[in-house]
Amino acid sequence: MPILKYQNVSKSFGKKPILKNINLNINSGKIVGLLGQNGAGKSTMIKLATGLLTPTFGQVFVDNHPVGIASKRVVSYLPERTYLDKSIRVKDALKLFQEFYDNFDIIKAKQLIQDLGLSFDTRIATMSKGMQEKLQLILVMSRNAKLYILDEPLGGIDPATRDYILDTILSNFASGATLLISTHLIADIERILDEVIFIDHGEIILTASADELRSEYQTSIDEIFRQKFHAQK
Amino acid sequence: MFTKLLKYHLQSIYKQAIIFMAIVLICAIVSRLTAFDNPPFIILFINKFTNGCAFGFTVGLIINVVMRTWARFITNTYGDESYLTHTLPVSKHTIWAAIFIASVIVTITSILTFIIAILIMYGSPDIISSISQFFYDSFGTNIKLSTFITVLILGVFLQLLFTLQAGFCGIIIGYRGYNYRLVRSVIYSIAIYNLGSIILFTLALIWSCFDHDINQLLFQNITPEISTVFRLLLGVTVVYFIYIISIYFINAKLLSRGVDVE
Repeated sequence: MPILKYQNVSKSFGKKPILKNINLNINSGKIVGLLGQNGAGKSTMIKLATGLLTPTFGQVFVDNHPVGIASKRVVSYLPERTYLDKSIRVKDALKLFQEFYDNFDIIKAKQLIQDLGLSFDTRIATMSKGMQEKLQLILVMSRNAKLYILDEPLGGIDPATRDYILDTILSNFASGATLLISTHLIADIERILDEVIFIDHGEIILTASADELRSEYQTSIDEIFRQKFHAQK
Repeated sequence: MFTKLLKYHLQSIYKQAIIFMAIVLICAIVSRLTAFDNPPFIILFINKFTNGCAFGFTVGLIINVVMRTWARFITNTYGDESYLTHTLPVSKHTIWAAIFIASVIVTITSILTFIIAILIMYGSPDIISSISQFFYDSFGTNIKLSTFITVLILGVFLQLLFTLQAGFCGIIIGYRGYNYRLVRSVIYSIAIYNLGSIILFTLALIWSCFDHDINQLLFQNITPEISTVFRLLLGVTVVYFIYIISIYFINAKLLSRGVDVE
């Protein structure tokens, strides 16, 4: 049974089509890369799975539930923006997650925050962008979810922080869970991927195992991506 | 989940509102403490200044809570914080109910702050007795003063709440589009508020066709009976109550169809 399923999903903003008849199954226990250029539809696909957008046509299922209360219990989502109220402190953010999510591991979260060298009394507004993103990542990865969805977790981040983010992701997601990562920074992330999905102009153009793809093309996923999109141009 | 959402809404809205409330009450207290007969100029100045500030900051309080509640709704439902709101394991109706109840609570506390300030500044057994006597001398004993004031306050509260709800409805409709969302929200909010006023006036017109006293009150230059004024006030209050309930369910229905965040 797929953990995430898109069934004939299309999404338009007014007359502008963004996603076109997406049919996709993502199985449990995998680290999946959703790869595409800027504006390809990656974030739109992710937002449909998390309930931030409503499909124009079709339906999205998470853990066999249509997107709703039941699906949101098992999805842990990291958006590409800071969504916490910047006037609150780190400890308030921990308390908020603990109150709203039954599967939030506050002990793990506190340990990760201490490892970062952050004070629990630090106000989010006084933190750098990189620190805010690290905090959000810690909050997301401290949930024992079935599906982790990370939207551009490496965007606008320095290389040292990228390594921290990848290591935090790999060492903290729940056993047996699925990780869906959208990014256009493929070179940084391909080492951890089990499967890849290429999306372009709102359509899925390729889904494959990362290892099989590398074997077939005898090159990196990053190079395959460049070839595919360069050829299409 | 509902109470948790409500708590966070109230924490956010009251962060600034509490400052206005404190200023209103402090000004009211200082105004009362400086209310002497034949005071020195400086005391008189402080008395008048704080008296004016109490009223001024009450207006500021009401504007602040209304605008802040609308802003909170937009940020929480369609802005950056919506990325957290809409991924919480709660229904759209719970999300809507929490902000609605928060708006009711802040409206009540704003009006209560004003009432307490008035009582602090002017309340005394002599003054209340004088007002009661004037009311009964002018209008007879058909309506109790306490009943009249209660319905008046209720009418003000419901009118204020209707303004908030018209704003919410305008925001929800405006944000269903993809371009110029904020502009559309403002236009729809104003339209809904004015539509409510037009309907209210139309109902009053229809009522006046069947009720001679209401007709006299609305269209003739005759001193009205207090009972007629009271009936009209009660009618307006009932209409606003129906508006608020109707808009609540309309907004709940619109939100249940899903949102498209920015």
